[in-house]
Order: sequence, then C-alpha cells, then structure tokens
Amino acid sequence: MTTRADLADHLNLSPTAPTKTYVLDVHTDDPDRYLADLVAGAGVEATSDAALWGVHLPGGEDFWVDQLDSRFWSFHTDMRGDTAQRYLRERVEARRDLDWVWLPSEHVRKAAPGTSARRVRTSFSGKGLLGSNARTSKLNLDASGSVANEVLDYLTSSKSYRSAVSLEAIQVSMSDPDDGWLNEGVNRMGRFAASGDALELHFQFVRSVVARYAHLVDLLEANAIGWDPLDSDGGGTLSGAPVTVAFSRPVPDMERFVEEMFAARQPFRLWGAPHIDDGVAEIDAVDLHVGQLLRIDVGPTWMRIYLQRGSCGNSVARLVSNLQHGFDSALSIIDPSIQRAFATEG
Amino acid sequence: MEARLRPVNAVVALAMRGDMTPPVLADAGFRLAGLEIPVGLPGARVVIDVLLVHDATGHLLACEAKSGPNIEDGQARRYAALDPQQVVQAGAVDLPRRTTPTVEPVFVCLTAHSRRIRIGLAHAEVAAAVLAVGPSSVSLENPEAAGTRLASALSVPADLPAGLPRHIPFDQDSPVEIIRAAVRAVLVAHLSRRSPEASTAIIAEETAPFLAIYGKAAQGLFRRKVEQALRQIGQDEPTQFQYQPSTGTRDSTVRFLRTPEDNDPRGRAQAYQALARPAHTRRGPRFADHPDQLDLLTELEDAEDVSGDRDDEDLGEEAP
Repeated sequence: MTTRADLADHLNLSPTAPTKTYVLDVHTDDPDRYLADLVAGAGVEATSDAALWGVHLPGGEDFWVDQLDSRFWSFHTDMRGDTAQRYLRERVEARRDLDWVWLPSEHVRKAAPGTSARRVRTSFSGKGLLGSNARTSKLNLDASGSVANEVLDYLTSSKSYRSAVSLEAIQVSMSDPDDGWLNEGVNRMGRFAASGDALELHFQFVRSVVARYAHLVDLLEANAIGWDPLDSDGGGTLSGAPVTVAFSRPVPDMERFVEEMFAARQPFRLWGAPHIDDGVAEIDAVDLHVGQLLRIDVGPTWMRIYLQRGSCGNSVARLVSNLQHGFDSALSIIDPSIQRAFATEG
Repeated sequence: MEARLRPVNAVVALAMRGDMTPPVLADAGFRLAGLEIPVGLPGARVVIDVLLVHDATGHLLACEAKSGPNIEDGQARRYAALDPQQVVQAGAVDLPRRTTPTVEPVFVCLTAHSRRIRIGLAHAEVAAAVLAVGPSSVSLENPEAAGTRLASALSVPADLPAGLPRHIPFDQDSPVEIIRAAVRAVLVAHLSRRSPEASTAIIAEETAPFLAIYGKAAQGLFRRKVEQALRQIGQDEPTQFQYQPSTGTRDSTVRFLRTPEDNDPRGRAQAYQALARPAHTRRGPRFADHPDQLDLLTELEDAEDVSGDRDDEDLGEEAP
C-alpha cells in the first residue's frame, strides 16, 4: 500500500516533467465520498494515510490528492500541466462547492520570505474596468535573473505604475544542506510547479503559502455578517461587518465599471443589476462561482463587500485578487487585521 | 438606500470598526448590543431600534431611528422612562463589570427632519439627544441633552466619506419594487445552483437575513411583499420562473424552469446578462472594447514558439 513517504517515487521532479500541485478550496463534510464523486470515472486508490489518495485517470495519468488540510486540498501530479489544469478546471466550473485559491498579489510576492525571486511575472489588464484610454490599461512584466526584484521594486514604488503591478507568478530557488535543492514556481491561483531533488521542500513551500491564504480566508469568514435573534418576540444581535476596500485610484466611469464587473463573465463571474445613485452603485450581486448572494457597494474610491455568515471567504479573496489584476493592484483593506493578512504583514 | 433607513444604518456604522465611516461611538467605548429590542410589557412596550452599551460604565444608549419627522408623544415618554435593568434583561446584554446600569434615549433622524423632531420632543416634554444624519455627516444637534460620553464622541460632526453601509438595505415597509430587486438576485443564485424550486419562506429568509431579528408582524408583512414580488417576476418571465401560490398544505413556491447553467460558457454569460436587465434597457456592446475582441498583437504571433528561447528548467510555462 502506498505511504506518504512513497510519494517521492510517484512524483517526478525533473526539469522536463516537474511536479505540479494544484490547491483547491473544497467544501464538504464527507471528503471520501466527495473525492469519489469529483473524479468519477477515475480509479481511486486508498493509501496508508487516511487523508492521502491516489487518483488514476483513464489515460494513465495520476493525481495524488492530499486532504491533510480538510478544506484546501492539494492535487499533486507530474502529468502535463495543460492536461491537469483542463481536468481540474472542468470540475471547478461544474461545481458550486469547489474553487481555486486566489492569492493576493503580496501573497505571491512573499511566497518564500527571505528568498530572492529568480523570476517574476506580473499581469494587469484594466481595459474592461478602466477603459482602453486609461493611462495604464495593460502592464505585463516577465523578468528573470537577479534584476527581477529590482525591476519589481522600482515599479511598485513608482506612483505612476504601482496600481498596475500585480504579481501573477513568481519563481524561487531554495536549497537546504539536508533536504536538497528546489526550483519552485507559484502563481496566484494556487498552482505550483517544482523541479529539483527535494520533494519535501516543495510540500513545505506549498503548505506555507496555503497557511497564509487560509488565515486570510478564516479572518474574512470570522468577520462575516450574522444576525442572531434573541427570541421569537423580535430583537437580536448583529456581528461582523462588511469588508471595505480602499482604492488607490478613482473609478473613472462608474457605469462602465459596474457593468463590466457584474456581467457574469470571467474572471469575476459576478451577476448583478447595479443601481447607481449620486455616484455610488448598490448591487445585490450573485457570486456565480459558488451560487451565493454577495451584496456590494461601489463608491468613487472604495468598495464594500457584505459577506454573510456561512458564505465562503474565498468569494472576497477572489474578488479582491481579480480587482488587483484588473483595476488597482495597490488597493488595501480598511480593517487592520484583514489588511495585515492580505498583505502578509506582521 | 432609502432615506428613511439612513438613521438606523448611521448609528450602526458609527459603532462598528473596519469601515471608512469613522467609528466615533466605538472609539468612545460603545459597542453594538442589539437591534429591534422589545422592552416592557405589551401595551406599554418600546422597541429599541439600536441598543449600544458602554462596557466600562454600564451606560446604555437606546436609539430610536426615526424614518420621518414626527414624534409620537407616548413613545417618546416611554423611551424617556426606560428602566435600565429592564433594558439589560430584554437585550440580554452582558455587562462585564459589576455596575448599576444607566440608560439614555437617543433619537436619530435625517437632518431635514431634526428641527421637527426636536419640537416634537419638547412637546412631549422629553429631554433626549438628537442625532441628525445628513448626506455627508452625522451631528449631535443638542449636546446639552446628551450624556457626557455621547456629547464628547460627537463634539464635532462625524464625516461620512463613503456614504453609509447598508446593514439594513430595506425592510418590511419598503416598496415592493425595491424588495423585488433583491428577491431577483436570490432567484438568480438559485438558478446558478440549479435548484429545481424554492419556497417563499426560504426566498424571504435569503433575501433579508436581518429580518430574523424583527418581530413576527414585520416578518409576516415582509414575506407578503416577497410573495408579491415573486408573483410579478413569474408573470414577467414565465419561461424562466413559475410562481405557484400556496395551497392549504403547501407554502407558495417558485419553480425554476431553465437556468443559464445549461448553456455553454459564452451562452451562459449572455443568459445571465439577459436576466440582469429588462429588455428595454439592454445596450449593444461598446465598439471599441468588445468583450470578445481578440488580442490583435497575439494574432500576429506564430502559434508555436520558434524563437528557440525555451529553457527546459524554466517553470514559467508549467507554473500556469
């Protein structure tokens, strides 16, 4: 029977077939049945570890699914990246209880604290929300080598560019006298790729990124709005608060902004019929990723997101991450504790 | 947000942190203890719209949010005569320090109504603080009638740089048209989850989770308005939603006849967009920024990378 230690035999770390790990946000009380249903048609193999499963696709490729974190599952594989992504994307899009993770820009940038990036990739496309005449409607950077960080630092410190410098992916090199060495890449949707000779280092890297993200999502959910009645005569308490986002740049055209954002299209996949009054848009929106109501207000330099108790914090993380890549990479969150988790400070 | 709901939302906003609204009441030590708290025996009952407590001193602010300019003498006098211990019990307020609680009535209104509210209070011979909610600030109109902590917290008007949060976006007294917009969003959420049907009770709860803290009469009135909205939606879009009135044994329901989820991805987005706007307001796509506009520069590139610049160790392509 396969053990956790056997994973090193099943996952290739060569430069030509690196190990990939895809982290998915899963909502289930019955992980065994959920996995069987999710990968229906594939063979599911139990291992010596109750939280580790082998999934064998009809084409001969394998995923090793680690449910050690009961919510953020890791799908490890060394099959081709496009094959693995297509397989998982079909499942994410078909379900309302499954999502990618959506790392804020700073989570990508600080994925490996204390380690210099070998390569950074930024992506910003503001054509939809800003219009094609915006000063920076598109800014993509793909920088390798020792200057990568310097270029990134220069752009993020520039008043002209900082709202359009959003980390898409980062690549770092790590080594340890005992464990070995690793080249590791991670992108903002929680997809990792690693080559080297230290699989354990890869697992540790993934875990550290996921732990930071899980902390952010936990905070968002702890802050979700809840109403608790005292008794049937009426009266009750309100807990939680909306998440308020402060923009570093103004919304240039509110009508256009909300029309684009709530058009039920990728990447936001938000539905809504905005009502604009005196420059403020109020939207009873639906997050189509998860099929949940998400009330949102948008003002000239801010946005309020009313996450209701029981809803998924990933909805807010996804929305804010996508805003960073389509509107304002320098946005911030007013609540100090959420902002710290968002910017991985402290 | 309806203007009449601004007073209640303003008090909540001033007591909560994490927003652009300065939490002047929270900074002064007040915390939100409850909403819609019924106090007293039937016939002489006051329903406190927002109850705040100052933990260090046990001082309570019993806020009456006025949607209009009128003061009812009896209600104002009952507010002025509130028994603090009864308020603590009714609101199940935990006082962290052993102290004798005190209570202070506060009337919150729109700035446009504040003069008449003060006249009404004078007529009722009630001395109470009046908070006036304007478009961009909240001010204490009569500091001399307020307790020291409240007067100090609002010694200068609190600015509202980002309007007011919509904690209570509508209620049972809102027009059906406003409730209908929120009901519609709930229906779309059901469509996206492929629900076959949903009862009016479920839809009402999902539309207004805050109604759980309101009295039964208010909940009943709200539910009837949701029912009205559902009936209208069913009539307007009979191919999408089918409203089924209640029977002797069954709550009224909505059946979902088709969902955008049945379409391919592009058709799905278009079907959702069609649900967002009545037909007469639909607009054509902007010519310059069509959502399906191909990237013209990418169109110029070869389908395969022939630059020979690929690095096998490079994870950029594998790290998606």
